[in-house]
Amino acid sequence: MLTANRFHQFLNSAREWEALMKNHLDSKPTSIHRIASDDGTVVFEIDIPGFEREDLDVEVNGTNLMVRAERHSEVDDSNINWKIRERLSGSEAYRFELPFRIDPEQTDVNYEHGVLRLKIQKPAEELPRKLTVQ
Amino acid sequence: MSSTLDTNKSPNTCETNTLECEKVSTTPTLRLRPRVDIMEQEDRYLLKVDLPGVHKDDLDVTLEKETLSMKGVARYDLPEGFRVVSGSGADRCYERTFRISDEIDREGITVEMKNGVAWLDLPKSAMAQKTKLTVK
Repeated sequence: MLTANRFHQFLNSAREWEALMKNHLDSKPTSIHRIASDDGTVVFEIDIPGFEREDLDVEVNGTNLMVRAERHSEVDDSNINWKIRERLSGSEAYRFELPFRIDPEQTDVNYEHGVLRLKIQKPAEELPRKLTVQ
Repeated sequence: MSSTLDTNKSPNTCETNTLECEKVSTTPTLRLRPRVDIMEQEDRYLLKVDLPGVHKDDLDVTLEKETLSMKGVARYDLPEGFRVVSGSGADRCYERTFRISDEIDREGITVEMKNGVAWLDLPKSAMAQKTKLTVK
């Protein structure tokens, strides 16, 4: 019980979440992520524009979430004179560590308009429970 | 880069854009300068602009005199009962302007959104294209 309550308090603290997420996004100035939560679900959004769904690989291992994106050349590079090149090239990889075990069967992954969205159900044992005062 | 297709970085433009962003979205917005690739080919310029989360209907591209402006809003719909625990819960407003010259065929400019990236095709006018002359 104590564990469940502490976990709930922990989820309410955005700062601790930031510390635990260990994501690599903050080091990339224009990469933006959003994490929202209610008592039973966490919703991640990661901006990774310019990929096809089949180029994205999402892997779950215990409390770890790995996202890899393989970028293919979108235009014929021959006869191109580059004027400005700011967009990320090559592959991208992001790792998150969540404060609970991720059940792949309870996780929905969606990629639309360049945003990867993961909806993760928290395991039942991690949900806050109300104690009866005797 | 020359004067053909320059990104416009003047402070005055940024100030104007702030007001426009606020008009587009009624909720708090995070203003962002999108990353862009600009490529020149023999007969055209290609622009690729990262606009993750922007739907086709929320993208405005306008051409006024020599200024091409792009403005796209990615709306963040927080599910009911959820709270943001990391990152920004605001809408994102992407804005960038480019200066184009007469070398571009203005009527031929096309825009397409694909996986959160805007592709702009700016064909060069026939006058601006290299023409090989036949030596008689």
